[in-house]
Amino acid sequence: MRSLSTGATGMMAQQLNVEVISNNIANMSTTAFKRQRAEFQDLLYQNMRRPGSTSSDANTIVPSGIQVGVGVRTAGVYRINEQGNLNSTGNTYDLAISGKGYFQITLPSGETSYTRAGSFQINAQGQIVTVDGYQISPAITVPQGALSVNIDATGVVEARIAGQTNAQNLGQIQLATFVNEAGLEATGDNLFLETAASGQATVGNPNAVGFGVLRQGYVETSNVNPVQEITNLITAQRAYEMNSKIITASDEMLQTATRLR
Amino acid sequence: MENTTYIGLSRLSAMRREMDVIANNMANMNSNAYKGERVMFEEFLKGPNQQQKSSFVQDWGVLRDFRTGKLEQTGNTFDFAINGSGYLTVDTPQGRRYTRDGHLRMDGDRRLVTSGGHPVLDTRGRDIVIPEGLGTPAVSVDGTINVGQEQVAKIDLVHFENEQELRKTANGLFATAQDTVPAPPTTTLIQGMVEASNIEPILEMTNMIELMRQYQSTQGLIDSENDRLKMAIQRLGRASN
Repeated sequence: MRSLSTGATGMMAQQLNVEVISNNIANMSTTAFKRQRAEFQDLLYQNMRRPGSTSSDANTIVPSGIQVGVGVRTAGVYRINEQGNLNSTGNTYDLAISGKGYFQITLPSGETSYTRAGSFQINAQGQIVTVDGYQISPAITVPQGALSVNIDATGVVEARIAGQTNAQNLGQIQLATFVNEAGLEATGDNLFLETAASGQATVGNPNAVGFGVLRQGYVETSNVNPVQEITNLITAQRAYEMNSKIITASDEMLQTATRLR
Repeated sequence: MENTTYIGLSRLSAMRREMDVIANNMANMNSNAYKGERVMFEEFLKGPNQQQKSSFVQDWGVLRDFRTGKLEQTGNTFDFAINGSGYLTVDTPQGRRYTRDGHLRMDGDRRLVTSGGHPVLDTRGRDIVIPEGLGTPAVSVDGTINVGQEQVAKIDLVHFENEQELRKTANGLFATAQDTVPAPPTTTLIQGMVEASNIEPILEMTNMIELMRQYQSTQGLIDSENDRLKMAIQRLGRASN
């Protein structure tokens, strides 16, 4: 019975759907987390009667034929890059990107990684680093004795230093954009790597054409919408149940068939 | 004499196929741009002459429901929902295919491809290549892709005279031998959204329950026919003694 295994593919797909939803909910409070969506596609079709073939009556052509599908498969899980809300924290080194772009981070291996999680800190050497201690690129060092650090919307970092009348320029924070953000590879810890699907990074200053602006003292929250996720969860659970009903019903039909005398 | 049983059986096997179709609809409840299907039945008349006719049932074709599924916001550059009737043209090794699943991406050669990796074609039948370094592409409702100030290509949105004739070939792709016509101007492409499947689970569920009951009652019909035959044979046997 084909529908038995079709129902099974449906149950497997919904299980993966629930897994993706649960990861979204688990990361509801992760800074700049982008929710994911599981994508499904239909499986192969078996032609019982080819569309366009002639039917039993002469000269009549079957308009649509009988094609029976054999279920569903997972095509992929992809990221939804909608902007998250900006949350005020008041911390000097918290930066949120409003609009497009990623901060560039230098990994210990020397590789450049990308993130939108702008909850930065300074380390013992005064360098601006991520919560994991990786340096922002281009590197910016805050001198000792800085009274305050100001980062403007275009990424210019300035420090007010005791005994100096003018603010001292510390550097410029740059952002990277990608033609296809959805193609970035997530490596955990809020970090992403460039891939062939994302295209090469285009680096520029915040607030330039095609780049977002920086907001000091804010962090971008995750774009997970709890209500939506719960709704999706309910839908997925029901879909799972319905697919299991298909299996039960197919089983009963099979049972009926075996009772034939 | 045994026609009743055969008619019953023709109904049972047709219903089994209908169940397969419902199961496939249910399994694809969350497939992008999936279009629901329904089996059509017809009466199949057969008999030695016009006076003695038996009416068999035959599943005659699959009717597809082409309504647009609900559109879901994703905010991704290369997600496109087709609002209205129309298809994207896809180049596959097996030939041209058509799809409404607009979750596209850029491959290593900067071509616009489907999630299966097949290139999407422009109005001139060429691959769409996104030029480097000009910024994020913007796609207008008619499918024109602009990168920066430059117009790159126009996504080929096509339509068919007879949509029902389209043949599904898995992965959300359709095949047809029909000629394409340009999609009507009312069809628009929406960037940053994808089309969900148009399955209505409640409807499918109701159909399934109804189908199951019909299956059981047809089974009952065959059973009682079997009893009737058995009884007839017994009585005839007794009478002949």
